[in-house]
Parts: sequence; structure tokens; C-alpha cells
Amino acid sequence: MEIQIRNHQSAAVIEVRGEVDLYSSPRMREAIVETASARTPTVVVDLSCVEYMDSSGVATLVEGLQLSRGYGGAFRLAGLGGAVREVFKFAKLEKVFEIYEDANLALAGQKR
Amino acid sequence: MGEVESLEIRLTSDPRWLQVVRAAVGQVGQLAGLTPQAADHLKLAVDEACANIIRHAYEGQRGRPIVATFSLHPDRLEVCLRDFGKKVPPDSIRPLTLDSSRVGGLGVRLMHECMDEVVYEPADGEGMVLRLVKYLRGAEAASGNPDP
Repeated sequence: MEIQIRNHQSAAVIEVRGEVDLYSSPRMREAIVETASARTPTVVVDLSCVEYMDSSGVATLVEGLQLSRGYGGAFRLAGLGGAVREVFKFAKLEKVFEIYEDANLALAGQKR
Repeated sequence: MGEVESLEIRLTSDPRWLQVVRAAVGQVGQLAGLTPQAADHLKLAVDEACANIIRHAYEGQRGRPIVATFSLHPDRLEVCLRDFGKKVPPDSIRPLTLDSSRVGGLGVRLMHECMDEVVYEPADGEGMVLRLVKYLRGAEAASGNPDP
């Protein structure tokens, strides 16, 4: 799994690539905690290049959402592919998160 | 007909092995004639089962044994996951419910969503056995055990 953080004016996009599981999710957590610790107003997690995610990945994103809410920030997910979206559906968390088609729409806060 | 073919994978409780197990499970699903979606579900369920063993049965301790046995029956694919960790009452292992805010039972919920049967049993001796079953339906059953 690879992680890249792109900082914008008042937002950060965390790009995740590969498979998110019990082994790799701590690295995604580090990136999320880092942006939340900086009280970034809008955190976007771009999952468009994630082929697989397990419950540890989902739990990490739930933690990110809670951290952002803690300081009044927005925490948005973007680009969920079929397999990842299904995990969210199974977890009944589709409506808990703000989910956008891609990272640009998530940055703009525009749902199509 | 009626012959059961099986495969056993032994690993230690290190999360690094999970991606290897997933790759193997994907192949098992394909050999069983599962649809790509059903094979993905099998992969997720086995991955969650192994992750739960690592996190809960072995409390994150590395180097402990996990044995995954895949049995291909004419009508179903069964996966038995054996650990040698803590024994827990099977009815205490419950999926996350909608009215719960905890995340701990999420893996169990995903297993239930992905598989037709999810049964925990105490093993003989130490640990637990988790039996995951996926029934082969329609086209899946008809194309099971495809010729190489």
C-alpha cells in the first residue's frame, strides 16, 4: 500500500493506493492522524486506487471521521470502487460518511 | 461424484501473510467455480477471520499458528480456521449491530454478510475452530471443479 498526502489551502488529500488490511492500515491511520492533528479543515481520503479494504481499514476511516468532527472539520471519502463500496454497504456505513465520486468533487464539496 | 477435495494452508499470526492468504483464497474461489463477486466475498471473509484470530485469539502476538483448511464439496465450499489461542464462548462472538457504535464486531459482521454460514466452535484442546460455508448455487455449482 502507498500513501501520499497533498496539501491544499485549507484541505489535505490523502491518496491511498493498493490493499488496505490489518498489516497496512496502521500506515493509513498515521496519515489521517497527522492531518487531523494539524486540524486541517477538510480531509479528503482518495480511495480511487484502493482495490481491497477490510474492517481494519473501515475502522481507521471511522476514527478519522471522529477526529475531524472533534475539531469541527470535514472528513470526506472519494472514488470508492465496487469492492470497497460493498464493504461500506455491508458495514452499513454508507450514510455515515460523506462520499464523493472523485477527489476534486470532494474538495469542492460537490455531490453530483 | 461426492469426492471432497481439500487444501490446507498453515501460517503464523503475522498480518504480513494476509495478502498471500487472500491471493490463495481467490484462486480457491476460482477453482470452486465461484463468480468473481462470490470469490471476493470468500476472500474478505477468510481475511477477516484470520485478522480476528491475530487480534483477539492471539492478542497481536506474532508467530502463533493458524491453520486454514479448504474443502470443496459437491454443493459447498467450506473453510475451517483453527487457532490455538484463547477459548471463548461461541455465543459471545457476535456481529456488530446497527444500534452499536463499537467497531470491534465489524469483522464478524462482514463475515456474516459474505458467507452462508459462520459457525464458531471450541476446538479439541486449545483454541477455536471457525467454519465458513459458501453454498455453490446454480451456475457456480454446475461449473464447480472445472477441467484444467
